[in-house]
Amino acid sequence: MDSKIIVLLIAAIVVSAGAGYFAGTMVVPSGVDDYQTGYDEGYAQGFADGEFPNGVLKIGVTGPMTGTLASEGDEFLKGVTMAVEEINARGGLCGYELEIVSGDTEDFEPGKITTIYEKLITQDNVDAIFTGYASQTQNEFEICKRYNMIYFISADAMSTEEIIGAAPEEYPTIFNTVTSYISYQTELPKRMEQWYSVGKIDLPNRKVAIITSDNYYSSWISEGLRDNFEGIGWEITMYEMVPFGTFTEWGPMLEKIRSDPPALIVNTDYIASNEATFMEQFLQNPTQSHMFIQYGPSTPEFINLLGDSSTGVIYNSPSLGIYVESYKQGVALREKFSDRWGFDPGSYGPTLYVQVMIWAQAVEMVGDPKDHLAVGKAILDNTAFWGGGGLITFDPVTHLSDIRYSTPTFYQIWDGNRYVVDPEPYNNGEIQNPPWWSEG
Amino acid sequence: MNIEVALFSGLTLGALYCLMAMGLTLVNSTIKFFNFTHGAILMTGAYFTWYLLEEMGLNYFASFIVTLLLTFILGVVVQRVIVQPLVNKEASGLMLILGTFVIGNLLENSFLLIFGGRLKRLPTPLEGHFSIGAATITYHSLLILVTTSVVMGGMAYFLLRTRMGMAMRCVAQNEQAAKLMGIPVKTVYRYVLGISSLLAGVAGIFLGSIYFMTPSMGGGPLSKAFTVCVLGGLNSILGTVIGAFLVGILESTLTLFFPMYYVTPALFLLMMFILLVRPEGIFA
Repeated sequence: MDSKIIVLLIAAIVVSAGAGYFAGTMVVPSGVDDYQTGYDEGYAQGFADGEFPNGVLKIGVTGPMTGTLASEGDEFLKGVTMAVEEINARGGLCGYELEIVSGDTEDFEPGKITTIYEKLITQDNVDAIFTGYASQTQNEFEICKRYNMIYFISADAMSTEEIIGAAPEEYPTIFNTVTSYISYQTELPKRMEQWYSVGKIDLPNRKVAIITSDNYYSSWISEGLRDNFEGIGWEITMYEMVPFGTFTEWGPMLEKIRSDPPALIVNTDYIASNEATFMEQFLQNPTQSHMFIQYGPSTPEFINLLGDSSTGVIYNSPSLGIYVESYKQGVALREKFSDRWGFDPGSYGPTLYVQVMIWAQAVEMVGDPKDHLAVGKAILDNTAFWGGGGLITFDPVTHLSDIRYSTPTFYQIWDGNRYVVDPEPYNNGEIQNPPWWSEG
Repeated sequence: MNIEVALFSGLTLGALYCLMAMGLTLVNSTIKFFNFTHGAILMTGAYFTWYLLEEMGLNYFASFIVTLLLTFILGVVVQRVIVQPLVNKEASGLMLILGTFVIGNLLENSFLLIFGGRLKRLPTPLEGHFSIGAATITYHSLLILVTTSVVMGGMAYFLLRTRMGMAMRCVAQNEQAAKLMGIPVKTVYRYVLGISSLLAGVAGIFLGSIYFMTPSMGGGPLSKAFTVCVLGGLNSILGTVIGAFLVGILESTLTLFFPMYYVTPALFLLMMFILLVRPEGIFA
């Protein structure tokens, strides 16, 4: 045989072997188009439709399925269901048909959380648990740690950072798909000054009234905002904490605000219904103040229930989102959810979908969903997945998402639409004085 | 600080608490148990009205009236299904609490299945507001105050001037004697639960238009109503009415002077003090 042909054949064999080897280990960022399949074809080991030779594989979804935050839990479940339907339609996961078991954490009472997680793990025998958020204290981390349970969460970055960051080797199977929340504390003060300096908004004074709620998320953010506003010379005219849960009598508190109107009112009580009630009562006699509300405005309920009364409200997120029209991966996620369920989601529906897909991708790499430690290692080492906020990779110390190609984003609601007002070039609108100022 | 803000806010709050708590006191004074379905029935009042308005296309007034009828019937059903079989049996007090707790849970979860967990809202029939001093008063708040006044007047007339009302007072005083006098106690119980549920339904309609509706919306009002009943007197409707406005005005006034976070603990401290000094309630 001709020597050149032999060399070419050997080279072809070597290249093929190398490609095969690297295909098994190389990280390929999953793009939007891959959502058709859920994960990269190179890892697919699915079976033909209807064949699940390994039976059923249960996964858990936890969250507030009842109570004031039931709409959030509903979205968690819908996001996971969407992913499960997609995976099962492709033939399942490593020969298993996925099945969802839900756990209602309702009011986040720690005893209830413990019971739910113990039941999911020891009685329902789930192999992974997904949530947007299921508690206020993350006491479920210890339970998942004990059983090496794969656990995904997408909230309370500061708690995850404190708990896992102190000893990441003790939590090899727990991951948080949000990025650090530090921007919640730091960016709003800077932006207010920046927008004023370029003439986009007016500031009658340098005063801010801050309302927070008795939960770690809200109080952590409000304390940071207070410190950062004071750091740039603003006066804190009011700093009030309300009990966590349904709270509706804002009247006397608004009276205090009206007695010394600040340029900015900040409400970090993240329950959408509370914040919507606050906004309605504020608008009965509004002051010449900008209104910043934490998280609630990002949910469908806030705009649906307030209607035109939501116009002018400012909110933000620590990364890009599914309503940033120029971020096509996020838009694709939003549209996928909307097509399936018939309404535009808040952030959590698509987020939970992404959680399941990240897990599924890792399981396919390992080949055994029951080997939680191996799956956890695969998630940590190999994830590079386009989520609602950017490209998700996991920080090896905190297990937080180190979201790349992303940035803190500010929105303003106007006539029922969410406009990205900062930063450029993602903005599709401009920050402006709210409409109630013209009534002043 | 502008005290008129606390006053008007407190009066509105007090009116809502009054509607929530009157029914509880009626049941407790007559049948002698704390009705744990009360919060859930409050919720059904809101959802019935929502359904009649949004899905059936009725106007607000018609939806209001139909809801009152439905909640009255619901109360009667609760009486027939749970209360009647358990009352006057061994450990009936505890059994009635457990039984009504179960029915309350059943109602909540049924409505969650039917309507889902996403927030809903009832429209306000009267839009707009006016000011008195620094206080902003909505026409809707005025409607609540007027309706509550009408309800209180109606209850007073019913209890003092009608045969059934007098029968209820007799049963509340001494059930055995009432039976001996030929008063149909079972029928009285039916009316008690029916009227109590009707009052809860009215409260639910107003709450559903001020705040947002979820199937678990009754829990908070139930605990607040309990506080009011304890303060005013578990067996005294007049005490409950006075207690409701007292709590409402106190809550609003405290908020003006103290951080919001301490208002609820302050109210519970007050309740503890009252229980120590006058356990039957201030106006019992």
